[in-house]
Amino acid sequence: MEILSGKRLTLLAVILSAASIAGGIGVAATGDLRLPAADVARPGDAGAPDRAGASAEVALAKEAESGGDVAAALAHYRAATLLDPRLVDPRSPVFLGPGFEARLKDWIAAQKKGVVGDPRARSDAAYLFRRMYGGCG
Amino acid sequence: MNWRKALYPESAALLAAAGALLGALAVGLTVLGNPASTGLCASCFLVNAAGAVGLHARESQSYLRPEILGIVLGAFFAATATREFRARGGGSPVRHFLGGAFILLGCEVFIGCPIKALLRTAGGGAAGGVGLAGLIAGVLFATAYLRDGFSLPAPSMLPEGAGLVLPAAAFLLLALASGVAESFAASGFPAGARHAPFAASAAAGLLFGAVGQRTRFCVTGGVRTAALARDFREAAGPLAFLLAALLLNLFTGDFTPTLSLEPGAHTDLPWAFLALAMVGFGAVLVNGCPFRQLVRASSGDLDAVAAVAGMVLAAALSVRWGIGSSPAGVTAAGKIAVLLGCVFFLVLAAWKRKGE
Repeated sequence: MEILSGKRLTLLAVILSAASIAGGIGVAATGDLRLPAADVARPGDAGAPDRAGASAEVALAKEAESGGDVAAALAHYRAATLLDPRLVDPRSPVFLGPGFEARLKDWIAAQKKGVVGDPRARSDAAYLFRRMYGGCG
Repeated sequence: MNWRKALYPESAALLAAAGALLGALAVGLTVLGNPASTGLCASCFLVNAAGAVGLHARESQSYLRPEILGIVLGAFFAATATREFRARGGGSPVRHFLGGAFILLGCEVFIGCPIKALLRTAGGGAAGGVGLAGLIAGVLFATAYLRDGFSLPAPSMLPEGAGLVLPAAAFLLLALASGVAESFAASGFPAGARHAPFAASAAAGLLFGAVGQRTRFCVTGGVRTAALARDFREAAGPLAFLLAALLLNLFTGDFTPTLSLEPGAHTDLPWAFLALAMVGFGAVLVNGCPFRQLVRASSGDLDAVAAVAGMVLAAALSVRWGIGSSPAGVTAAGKIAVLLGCVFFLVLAAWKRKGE
């Protein structure tokens, strides 16, 4: 006789269902349910890409970059991309450009060599890379 | 060459050869322009198609994928040519509709269907591998319920015309798209979602569908049959798919073992595991992953058509309600969708057993 069969299997389903419901309530209570993402809305809709906010973040990123603070620049580029994901889509008219793409690859290469070691900067650079090169579309 | 054996493949060698062909085609489409690890992804393609017909507004994920229409038509032609096209349905359309919807949502939380999990693993993505492990765990768990008598009501035979709706719709859309493909993409981007050339995608889609129909290619089905019957022939296809994609990625230099730099992925491993575990569990209960549902639907199975309809609706909702994940991570709505999917399939599995 199987260990997992009959009433045991029913009980397991009940326990896992209860745990899933509790988990769902926990996520709903503590998670941010305000999404959808910024690039879903049509132009003019509430929640459309925040171009002004993104431009401000890009300006701050360029300022940090020119001052040699790569970690701060990456943080601002990430913030900008969260406000308008099209900034790192090479097909978009608002793409940050091939120069940015090349610098991002250089920063990631430097991080791999340990030249730029800040874990936050690593995470920001990796996010920008993943966003630029993949997805379902 | 024995054509009968090729048309009705039963041996592990033939099924593996077919799987390797599909894997090579999928990598080829990526080389030609599809997004990374997205040479063949039924869930991604359905999201793109939903956007193309206006069900959501994310420009970068809107394109009427010729692959998806090709899969439908290829499977339909293969089923018709071998006299396996039979209109049937009415067994459990509501459960298929809801099951299809939750499976699609799970795929979007992981970012890809089970076939894309193979492609992501073959590209070196750690999160892809974790998702694949979750999928296998979900399938193995579901087999406990199958052994204990789980089954859905059998479908009834229907007039043949009833099964033609999906292939006819795919034919019309493909004919329209071949002339005005770009018009189906949103206008903000040059051509909507990243994609390979139309003709290559359509031709590959036809092959995906025809080969998928003849070999019953299904990642979850292969694991299920291996676990239940100790028959590993069905699993030979997906395994060969993975190996072919891996070898081609190594050859083209696209294999990069990584967690944080996997294109398009997120790094939330527990949710990658759980999302595809839910997909694997559910896919066994409703007889197939998104790709297999498309193939079954094209062979006249109206319960599978209900599953496809559920997947299309869920594809739109996943974008509109922020359920789908992004490289930034898994959203709260995505986590809730996965947990609700777990509840739905657990209740279905516990309820529909003989003797319980």
